[in-house]
Amino acid sequence: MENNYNDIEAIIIKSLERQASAREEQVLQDWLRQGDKYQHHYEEVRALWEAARDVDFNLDPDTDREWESLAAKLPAAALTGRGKVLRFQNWRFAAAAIVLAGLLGLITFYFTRPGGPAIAQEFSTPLGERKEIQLADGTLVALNAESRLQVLEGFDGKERRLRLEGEGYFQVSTDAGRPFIIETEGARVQVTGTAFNLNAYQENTSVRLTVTEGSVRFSAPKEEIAQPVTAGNAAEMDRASGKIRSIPFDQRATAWQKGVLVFANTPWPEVVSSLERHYAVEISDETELQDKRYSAVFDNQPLEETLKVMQATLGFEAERKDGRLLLK
Amino acid sequence: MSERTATEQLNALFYRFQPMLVAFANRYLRSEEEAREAVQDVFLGVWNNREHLQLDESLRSYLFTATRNKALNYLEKRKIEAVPLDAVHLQQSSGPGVEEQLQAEETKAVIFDEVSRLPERCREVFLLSRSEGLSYREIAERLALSEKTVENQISIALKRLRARVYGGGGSGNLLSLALLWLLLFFLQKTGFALGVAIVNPVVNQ
Repeated sequence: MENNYNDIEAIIIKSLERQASAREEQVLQDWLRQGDKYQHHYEEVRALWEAARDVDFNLDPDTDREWESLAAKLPAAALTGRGKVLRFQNWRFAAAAIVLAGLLGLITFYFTRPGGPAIAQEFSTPLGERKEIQLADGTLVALNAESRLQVLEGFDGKERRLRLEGEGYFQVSTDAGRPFIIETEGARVQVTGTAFNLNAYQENTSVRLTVTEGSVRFSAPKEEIAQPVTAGNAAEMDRASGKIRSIPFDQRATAWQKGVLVFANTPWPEVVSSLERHYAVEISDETELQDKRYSAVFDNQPLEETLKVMQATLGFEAERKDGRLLLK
Repeated sequence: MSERTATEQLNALFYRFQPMLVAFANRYLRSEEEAREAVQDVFLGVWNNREHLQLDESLRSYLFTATRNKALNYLEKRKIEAVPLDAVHLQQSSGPGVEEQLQAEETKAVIFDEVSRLPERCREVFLLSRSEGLSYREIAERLALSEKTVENQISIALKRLRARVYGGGGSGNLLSLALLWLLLFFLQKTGFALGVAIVNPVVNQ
């Protein structure tokens, strides 16, 4: 006789609910007869089934929102709960500590190269090109033009660390136990599993974060407390001051993946950089538009068309010269 | 410990325990909103005492006890209002059976947490069976599945709950289970009686 007990739990429950057929009851009895262990197993399933009756499965713990509201209270709490100050009992301790610190410093020096952790892998895109990458943990990254993504040593370990120059759209594989951290010039982003766009081009004065799924923690590199940014929200950090402010969420922040060029009240120098990257041209900007801002959407337009539209509203002239584009 | 690692640890702890603690507090308070609030108070307390606490898994029983105390405080505060009848038995703070009661409520919180982590289809089947009381056949009809699949999903759900609550053999052991069955089969074929004696009890653990 061949009996597979793989679904024994289902039969136990059927029996508890008095819905088991005579044959199923027989199967259960045969299974139970094998020994105390099986009786015990049965009891556990029964206890779980009974306990689950009292559980309100419709309850919504709303964990993301609750964390945000808790995180908002932390800085104040951090001020009241002061950290411990280490005091050395006598000079011997102090001397030992200094020697120890020196040793640690030496070890650190030997094990880390200048400029932080070693780079395990690097992806980059030239002007005018985009790239899609799948990282070892399954995370998908779309890399915009003239960008560089470095996977740091230990990515497969406790923390998934990356460094980004330029712009990327990240769909991060969920793994609550292994935080996903992106460092950029002047800002830091930490998530567990979510999707967001990070615009961190060097020439921009701010780093812009647009979150499309889940929740992201945004902070300056050395900042203690991160600002949570949730799906449907965007924030920018001023690189100089490290201040974070929320900015209007613009679905089009990720449109570059499809070749759409979006300007939304964008400072002129940034417009010029975007054109350079998008169309892979070098631009000499001799206009007097430095303080102006510009808004428009160009859906896969050739450079000439784009320029024509811009010229009509901004009134500058464009000409090709030695393989460069001169705006004046 | 630097502030940053402390906030990171608190974040990890929060995401790990907040859902089940809210479910736990809700058993006392019967108010989702108050339950969430109580749990947030508990974590704020953890933060303020972080110098004396280890912000990791070892905080588990502290968290449950603190949440229970917080919930009882809340009930105390609204004593003019009617306390839900079925929550009355949870209110004694000491005496015989309290420890068992706490244990039972903690188990329910863990069940809530584990069910929320089940794969979509599996959770759906489990809830239709447990909460809606549908028979396997009714579930099969409703979800356009075979009855066999429904049984299978129910078993997976219960195996996972059992592994989580009692630490017994759960679905994580399915592979080793399969390997053991293979081994058993092989040993039977070769008439290795001793093998059967050793393997058999393990297989169904």
